[in-house]
Amino acid sequence: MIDHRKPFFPCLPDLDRRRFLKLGAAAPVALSASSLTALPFADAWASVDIPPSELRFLEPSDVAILKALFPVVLAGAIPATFGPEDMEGMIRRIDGSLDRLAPFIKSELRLLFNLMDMAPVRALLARVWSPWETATEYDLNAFLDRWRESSIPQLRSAYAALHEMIMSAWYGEPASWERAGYAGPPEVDRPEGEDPA
Amino acid sequence: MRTRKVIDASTLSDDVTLEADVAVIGTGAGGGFAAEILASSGLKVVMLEEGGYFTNQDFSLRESDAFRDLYQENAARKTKDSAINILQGKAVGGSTVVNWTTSFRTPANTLAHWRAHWGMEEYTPSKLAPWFQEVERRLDIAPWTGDPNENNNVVRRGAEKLGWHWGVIRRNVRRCQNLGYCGMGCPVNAKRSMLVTTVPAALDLGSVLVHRARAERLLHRGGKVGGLQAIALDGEGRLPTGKRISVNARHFVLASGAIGTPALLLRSNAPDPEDLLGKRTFLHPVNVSVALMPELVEPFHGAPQSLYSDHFLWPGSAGGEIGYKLEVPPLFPQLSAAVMKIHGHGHAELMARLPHMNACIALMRDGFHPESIGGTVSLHDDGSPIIDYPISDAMWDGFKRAYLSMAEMQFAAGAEEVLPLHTEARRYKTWAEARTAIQQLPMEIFKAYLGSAHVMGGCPMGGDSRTSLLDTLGSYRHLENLSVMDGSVFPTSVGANPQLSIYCVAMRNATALARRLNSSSGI
Repeated sequence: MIDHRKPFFPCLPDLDRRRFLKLGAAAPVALSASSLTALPFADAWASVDIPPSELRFLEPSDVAILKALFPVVLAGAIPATFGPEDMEGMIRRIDGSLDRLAPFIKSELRLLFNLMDMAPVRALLARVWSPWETATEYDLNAFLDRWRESSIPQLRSAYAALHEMIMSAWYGEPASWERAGYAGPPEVDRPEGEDPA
Repeated sequence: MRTRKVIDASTLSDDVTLEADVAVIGTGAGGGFAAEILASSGLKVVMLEEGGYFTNQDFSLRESDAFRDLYQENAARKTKDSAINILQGKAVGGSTVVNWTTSFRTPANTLAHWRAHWGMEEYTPSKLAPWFQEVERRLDIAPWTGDPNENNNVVRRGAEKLGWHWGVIRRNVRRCQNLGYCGMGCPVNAKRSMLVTTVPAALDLGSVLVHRARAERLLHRGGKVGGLQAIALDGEGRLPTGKRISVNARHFVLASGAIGTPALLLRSNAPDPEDLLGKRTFLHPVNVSVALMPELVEPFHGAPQSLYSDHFLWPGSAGGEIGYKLEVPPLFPQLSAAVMKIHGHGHAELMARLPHMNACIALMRDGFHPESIGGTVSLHDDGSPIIDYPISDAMWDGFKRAYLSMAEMQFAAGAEEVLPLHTEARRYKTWAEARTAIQQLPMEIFKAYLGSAHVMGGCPMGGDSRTSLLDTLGSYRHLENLSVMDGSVFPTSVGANPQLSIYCVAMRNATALARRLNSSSGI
């Protein structure tokens, strides 16, 4: 199995590591937060509060789940400077993407989020004992691993869905590209009409 | 050149009724050619398209924008159990706007199978050759003469070392700048998609295009279609605006793709006495193997597909164990991140190595093996389509063999590590280690990552009315003035990227239809 908890820094090229440490030192949150404490982003993102009327698919309880999972799914990828405005943009993008899915998929995702929001389900199926907002990185990682590797196809499917919405939202954004070694699209001369340049 | 008649249905303030000789529903590979050929024969054509009209001026070359504007369901269309992710286009020009330009003629083995099992006597390589030549001329289809990018080079290096077949892919491009953004809409119009060829040609011949218009149902009575009802969608293509578009025509050509066409016919309660509609829908399901290469690959640069291997495509007889075609996909951050089903630091570390990453895909040739009966398109409560695609043991066997082939090829090409996209796979350092481990991988959904970019079948042509809905000219057997010209007409998968097969059959059958309509009374 892939070890999600292995140290982050050794796998970064030197330049990236230095920059990341610098960012970390300047950031208001501690990167070295123990995985047994609440998540480093939890406080910073507490202010992210989008009026339900501005969301097409997501509900406030879904947003709480996504805010909890986002830094765990993307551990090692999002910078410590990722602030509340950035997170709000992510939530809106996820909302737009989910809204464009097929009606039957949306029904299933609605059911998934509603179930995850029910404390007994969260405890029994995800084994996350505290509310999502206060869950520890360790518990959330264990939950994700458990669903990913479950013998129950529906739980693996749920993992795949949560993974896809979070990964797509982050890696669709230019802020993620530098770390992925991708410079972004080129500037090109665009011919008018239908013929090539 | 006369002024083009293009109606953005999202802006309609009233219901409209359009009159035409022929209504063409869909503007992708099939609809584009059908519209141009029918229009050039002098017929008045109305084209309907659910998607928006985006041009090279609009393409931002960002995955997130392309998925939103140009793909069905944000590029996250799924089978009923969500186990297979389907990439399918949705815009004027259909999937041809976003495909990777790969152009194979229908394999001779596939045509032989169709003749032997599906009564398609006229579908021989020599009889189709003139049609292929004409399409290839029209769309500048030629072998890629530039250097393949390093992602594709893995196929050549691996196959050469192992003594496997490999070949150069033919592409529908003119003055291609080798940018690599085929999947997000070509910004320089080098790709000869329907967006820049047949659709504007049909418009210049006086055809009308209505986009952001979703075809809801065909009205038919007594074995004849009387009209088509469509609804206008808002500017995002999201919600109905409440305005309706009605099209009255002598003849109707369905070209909404192999999910859209069967769904429209199902919504219309089209006669289907043998219960064939939406059945035998094929996907060329794909599994994936990622490799980390010592050299810089930059799999986001350069022509996305230029080399392939058919070494495993026809392992025995056509109906024997499932064969697969080996190709590579381009890797941009968003889709790459979404398909690698791990999270946290392990994922971040892989993504940081994207510039050194190669991926191989194996396209399963479904619909030939007796167990490979494909999927079924049916309707959700609201009339939207659902495709159920169970995976047979024969196909799992194909995926297992393909994981092995891809890893072997990647190691032969010099890979430092290979990671089959499977939740129980690890990053393997040697072919021996990978071979042993892959043998043990359980073949189950949501363990093996599966995708598709080719939807075919569901409204098949054939020589026998008990097993086909269309005759071999694409005419619907049970509605006299209805034809189908898109990927849904194939009785099995094509066994190669289907765009050129769709172009060829659409051109052939639209030419016959134009002759028929022009010789009958009423013109």
